[in-house]
Amino acid sequence: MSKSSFFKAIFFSVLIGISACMDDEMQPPVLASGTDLTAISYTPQDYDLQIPAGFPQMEIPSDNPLTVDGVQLGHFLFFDPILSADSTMSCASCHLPEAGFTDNQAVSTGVAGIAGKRSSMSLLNIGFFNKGLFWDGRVATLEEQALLPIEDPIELHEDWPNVVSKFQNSPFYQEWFRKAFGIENSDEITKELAVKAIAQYERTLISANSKFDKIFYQNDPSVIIEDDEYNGYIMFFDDAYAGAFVEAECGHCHNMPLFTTNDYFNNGIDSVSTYEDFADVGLGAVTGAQLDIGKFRAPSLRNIEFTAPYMHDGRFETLEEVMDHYNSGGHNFINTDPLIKEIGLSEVQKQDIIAFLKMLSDTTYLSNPHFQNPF
Amino acid sequence: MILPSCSSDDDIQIVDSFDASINLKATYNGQPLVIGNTYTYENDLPIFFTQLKFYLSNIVLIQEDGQQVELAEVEVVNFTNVNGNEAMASQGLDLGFSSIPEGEYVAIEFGVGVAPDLNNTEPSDYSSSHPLGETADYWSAWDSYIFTKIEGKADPSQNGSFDLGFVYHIGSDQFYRSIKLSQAISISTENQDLPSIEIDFYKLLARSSTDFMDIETNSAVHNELDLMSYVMDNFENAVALQ
Ligand code: HEC
Ligand code: HEC
Repeated sequence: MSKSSFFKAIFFSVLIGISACMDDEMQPPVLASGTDLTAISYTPQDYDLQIPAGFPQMEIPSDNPLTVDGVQLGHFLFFDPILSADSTMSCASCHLPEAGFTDNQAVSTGVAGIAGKRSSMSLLNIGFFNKGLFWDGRVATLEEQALLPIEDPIELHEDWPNVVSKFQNSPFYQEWFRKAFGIENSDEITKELAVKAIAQYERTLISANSKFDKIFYQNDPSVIIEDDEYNGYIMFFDDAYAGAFVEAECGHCHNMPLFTTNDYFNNGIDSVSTYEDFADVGLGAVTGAQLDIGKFRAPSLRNIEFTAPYMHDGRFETLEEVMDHYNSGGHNFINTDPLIKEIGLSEVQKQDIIAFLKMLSDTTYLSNPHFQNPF
Repeated sequence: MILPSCSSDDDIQIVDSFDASINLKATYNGQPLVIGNTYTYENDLPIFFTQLKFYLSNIVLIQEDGQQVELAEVEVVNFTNVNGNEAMASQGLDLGFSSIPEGEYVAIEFGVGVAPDLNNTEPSDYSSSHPLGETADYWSAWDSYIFTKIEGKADPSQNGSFDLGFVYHIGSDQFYRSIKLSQAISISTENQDLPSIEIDFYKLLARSSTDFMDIETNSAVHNELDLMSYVMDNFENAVALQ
């Protein structure tokens, strides 16, 4: 504690004392119940977010600019099991760095041991996903999203007043909420501030150092594309004017640079004959439109090698199974996307596309402490 | 808002300016087009559309003496959601413009697609709310924005299965088309009406019952240059003042 802030702290308590004494009825002084934090220095510094070459600009809400300490607080919160009912799980339990921030399970299981119906999603480059979050797009912002897992019975199964009081009573979090948001008393710690910090951290989870990036965006002459990768690229993006290749149409829904358009489609994985047959209505539950039933967001394919199993319910174990699905044309239904049709890839061509998908793996983030458990 | 403008005798005149919008409607053979509704194409082929989207660039009003007043550099017109139901389809969508100088105009002109100078840029040059900031609408293999996306499903076996998807994506400078629509347009205190424009998607695919895009044989247009020009050339006929 610096000298001046120490005096500030004393000065404040004296003031409160005086005003209380001047009260007509001479009530006992109403002291704030929390801890005064003004002695801790608050010197917010802009966080220098590096947007990779070729990437779109990131939309950041004006009421939650990234600061160095805000991101750091979010980093702690993301990995801290203090957020769960029995202190066993954190966000990172279902969004593990080594699994591309997924959990490698078909569907996630929360603290209460209850399995959900959907597969965890990668949080790498999450700050660029601007057409709704979750598989069905039901929330708009990361701030709004982060409110949900805490109280979700199939996730952290805790309640916010409880979590907030854990923060308010923790000298560690008192200090970090002060540094991140300039609050003056531990009473001012709220769930709104907690989710702001988590969202700030999430926006920094940028991964753009794959072999594809090095060749395509960074023009690194030391990185050479192999034949199979190149063939896969051609088919993925229909860049085949000559007849030797098959157009696999992938790029229309998984477009570069994010390898998603962030749009919602029925990619034909479900065999249905009526809209009622969809086990999970997906986007339809959000928009209420019949044509949207059974549509899910096309996920980014960056780091797809690390995030098996695949699809919203984790039905495919391997990329080979995914390729078999697309190659077959999947199941046609009224709202199956027009791009989903039998492709006619040979076994070699399927492997070429998988080789291309593996070019999208970025392992460099894994050795960066910013993406690891800070505790 | 007040804008100074120079008249021929070099006096400074003060000209009022106004906000106004163009109404755009998607139609199919003259009827409001609803995404997901079934229409009959040539050869009695039942079809419905799932996505209808195009860029307009260099939207200008033209004065009698040929001078141009720019309304917007580039806009994206997306009927995909707007046309979700009958009411929305007959309402169409409005492209709003601000600070249009008071005056008498004789025509409106625009390009379909992204004008070549703008087509040299990429989504990363813009914020994602800008019409050119959408990564879904940029195709790196062409070094171009996707000028138009027309997607839907057809039912050749006519049994309700709609098992034929069609996807027409067109882009790159050679397919940019300019369209001029002549009409007296008056912008003044009394009148701020810009034209209403209809785009008929049947006419975009078919010129006549003998000259049309065969959806069954050409269900994907993406690298087929002649078919790409065919559709882009059709914009001229498909677009009409209401
Ligand atoms: C029990 C496992 C579990 C825990 C714990 C968990 N998540 Fe998730 N997360 C998921 C699942 C499953 C989904 C997809 C759910 C859906 O689409 O309905 C998801 C989706 C998300 C998304 C949306 C990703 C996208 O691309 O749209 C974000 C962001 C996210 N989680 C952040 C968090 C944060 C922050 C925490 C901690 C506060 C957290 N998660 C805790 C399982 C979990
Ligand atoms: C019509 C749009 C569309 C096309 C074309 C398309 N996808 Fe997808 N893709 C999706 C959607 C939507 C999902 C999520 C579906 C779900 O979970 O229900 C998905 C999921 C995936 C997944 C699983 C992602 C994950 O995190 O679980 C992989 C891998 C994938 N696609 C690869 C490809 C490849 C390779 C191609 C080309 C052969 C392709 N996609 C073509 C829309 C598309």
